[in-house]
Amino acid sequence: MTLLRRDRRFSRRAAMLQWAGIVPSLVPTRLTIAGNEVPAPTYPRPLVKTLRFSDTPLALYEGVVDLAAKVPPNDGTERPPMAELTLQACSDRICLDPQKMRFALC
Amino acid sequence: MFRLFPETPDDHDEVEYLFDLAFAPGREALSSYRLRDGISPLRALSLVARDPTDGIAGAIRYWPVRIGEAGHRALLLGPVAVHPTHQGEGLGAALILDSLDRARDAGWERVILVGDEPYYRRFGFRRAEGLQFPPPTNPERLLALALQPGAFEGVSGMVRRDG
Repeated sequence: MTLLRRDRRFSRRAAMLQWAGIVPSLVPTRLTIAGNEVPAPTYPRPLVKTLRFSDTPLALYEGVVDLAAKVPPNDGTERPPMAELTLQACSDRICLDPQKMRFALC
Repeated sequence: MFRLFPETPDDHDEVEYLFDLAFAPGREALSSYRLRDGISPLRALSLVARDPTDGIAGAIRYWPVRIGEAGHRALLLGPVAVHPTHQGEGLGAALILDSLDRARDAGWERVILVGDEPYYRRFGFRRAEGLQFPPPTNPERLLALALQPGAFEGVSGMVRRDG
């Protein structure tokens, strides 16, 4: 199994990441590899906190997060497997626009 | 594992350093640079790859050009470089293929480059028939890729600056 290791840029930027789509207007953290959803157990357990901008408790990642995933075998082409991480970073007061981060698994 | 993301102005000096490391001194004297003088690379397609320590591992740039009297729009791919410590890992292919996907998604129809046909053939590039590149350029090294079917039909002439 290959691990998606933590990434310094990722950890610096991501103060808090919503883990699951509890609040419809927020985007849950989602990892895909080669366009396929990674099985849910690869996500670590979240913290459940209430932030200042909402009374609804949110499931969050805070600080450095390690996500593990099985990388599919090479499909025989030149293209290394690609991973895409969708996340939305929030502070206690605001959430930034969701963003997608792409990784070449080579 | 490498994070790929569009190049920002903050990446500029590191990317230039990487290209200086990867290519012979005087690379900016090549004819292809006359097509780039004073024109910014296309930020959305020009990618940087960083390794888990945040070190620069690779980069690719694209520039807008025009072809022939009709002024058909095209992308000029290059330079593309991988840091010597990361060569042979497939990062170059990842940069090329991911950026070509982004170009296709953005509606670009055609890409040209000056490079080795045996290497770039795997990505679909072929000799650019009917196109000329500012001299001195070996015409056998001028390659083209259609991102949309028939994108080079009726497209011929000299490749020139966009603007």
